[in-house]
Amino acid sequence: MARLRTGDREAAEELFNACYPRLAGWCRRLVDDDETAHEIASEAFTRLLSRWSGLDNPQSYLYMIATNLIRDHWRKTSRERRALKTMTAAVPGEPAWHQVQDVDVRALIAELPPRLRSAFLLHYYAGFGVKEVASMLGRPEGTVKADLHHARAKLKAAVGERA
Amino acid sequence: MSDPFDPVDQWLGTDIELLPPQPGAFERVHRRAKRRKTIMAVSTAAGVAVVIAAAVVVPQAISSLLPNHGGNPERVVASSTKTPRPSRSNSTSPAPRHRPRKNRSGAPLLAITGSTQPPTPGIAPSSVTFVNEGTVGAVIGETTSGCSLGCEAIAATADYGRTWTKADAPLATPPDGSSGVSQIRFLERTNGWAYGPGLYVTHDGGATWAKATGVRGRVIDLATVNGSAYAVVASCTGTGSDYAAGCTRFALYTSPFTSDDFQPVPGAAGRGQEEPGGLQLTRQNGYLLAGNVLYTGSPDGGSWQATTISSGTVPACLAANGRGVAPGESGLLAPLGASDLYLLCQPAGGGGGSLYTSTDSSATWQFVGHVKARGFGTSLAIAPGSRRLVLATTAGIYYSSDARRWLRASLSGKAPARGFGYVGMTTRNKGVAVPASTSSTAIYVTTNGGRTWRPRPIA
Repeated sequence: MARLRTGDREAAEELFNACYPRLAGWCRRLVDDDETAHEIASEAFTRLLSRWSGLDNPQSYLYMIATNLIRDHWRKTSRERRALKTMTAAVPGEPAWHQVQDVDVRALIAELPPRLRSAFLLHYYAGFGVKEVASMLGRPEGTVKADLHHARAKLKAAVGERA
Repeated sequence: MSDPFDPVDQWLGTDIELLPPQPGAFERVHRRAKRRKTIMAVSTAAGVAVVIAAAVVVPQAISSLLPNHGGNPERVVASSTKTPRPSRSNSTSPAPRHRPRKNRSGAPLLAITGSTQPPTPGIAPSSVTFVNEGTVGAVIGETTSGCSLGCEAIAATADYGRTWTKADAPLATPPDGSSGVSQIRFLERTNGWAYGPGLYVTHDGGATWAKATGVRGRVIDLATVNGSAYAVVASCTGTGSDYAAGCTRFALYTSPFTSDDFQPVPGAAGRGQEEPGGLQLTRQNGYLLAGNVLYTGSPDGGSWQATTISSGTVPACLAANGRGVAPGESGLLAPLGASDLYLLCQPAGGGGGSLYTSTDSSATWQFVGHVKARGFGTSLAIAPGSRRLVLATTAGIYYSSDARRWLRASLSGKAPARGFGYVGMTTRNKGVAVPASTSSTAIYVTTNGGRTWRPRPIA
């Protein structure tokens, strides 16, 4: 960390090489487009490195930034998604390209309330513990646990409705 | 406890597939961050208030921040096999040669990704190869730049075709009957082959090329897997760039990537109209479609044999059980994993064809459905990690997620004349296609599984 705070390029590159593939893979799973995933992961690292000295937990920061960028991306593409849904609905028998868990669950997560969505993505998907997520979001652990529970319940209910 | 039938649990339980950074990504990020840092510092200094804050920080070893990621070895993810094009020139002018410069680490700067020189202008790509999760690759093609009668040049990319640099080409002409080269393959960054109909090998990322030994005839197809290269060597009568036309005999050869010497593969030789693209390798199986006979074998050595279809459906383009095939009927192969295989049989006139699949390495086949596509199919690919099929034809690109319903892909800009000669998927979402036209100076890429394609000029 001391090396990172002093702007040590080598340390930054070390962190980049270690964290980037997983972060970008995480993004790709949520946006399903390699280029967008690269853009989001790169932007998260750019923001991290530009304010390096004030951070105690760069990895948490990276995923927080990426979560926000993905949310923005979803918001921007929501119109396209709706158009796509309309289009595919109009073509009976048009096969789903992705597996159900990749398309439907992603779409359902995008529709979760922001409060639940951030906690859900960071805990279940990025792999942070409840305590870390609570710290990252500035919420009590109990609240995060409740949010996670509600998020799962909402997703399962939504999946049930679509089935 | 998780429910195995709950899609939410299934989704969460799926491992994240790592997405390695594109070459140069850290440098770009670092530069951008420095610029922003400078802007922020200037803004702060310009403010009327200066706040001096003392921060208490908790020392933390960087290693504790870094997840333990597994290695990500480079692998071949796509290579083209484009049907040879009509000749533009019978030039014997050699491709330009450059003495490779060395950088600080001793690696040649003109290796596949090390050059800083712009690519030779006007390269019309006839073949493309990608390694390293599809980010690093090279094209080979004919150009008239610097050689008025046409010469062969190679350009390399480290960012999936966004930018290109010049790379050394073997000392060979464009294809001209039994000599020259037109196709390229790399096993990884350092070991590669340029062929069609000649055969050259590099072990230093394309900085130097040597002529391979052991092969007698025209190399009309080549594929690499598991550290070996396999080459189809044929006796053909085609002239100019139609070097793979009129082939009557063929033989399969192989060589370890460390060697320049190719040896025949027992059992995979005979009479037949082998065509480029008929050789397909997976890590577990090798397939060679020679005329109407399908040969199979292990890519790790041993003899190959002609397939015997034990029972059931016989694809329209395979001769089996004493049954012949209609004149002009040909096939396109696309293997998937250990034993799955798709075969598109199409009549001479094109316009689609019949798709078959096998789940036991071609011992038995099932008819999947009719493929409706304009033009004549030139190349069939499967996206890794999904079962999405992508078909290149002389009229465009088509895709299907269930092998039954086919949709036409959308192309950015003007579609290339004569469609595409090759398509390959490097990852689940990324793919590359090579136009069939000799006038095109771009390859096409997709980043959404083949739905849309955009040109990436070799410039």
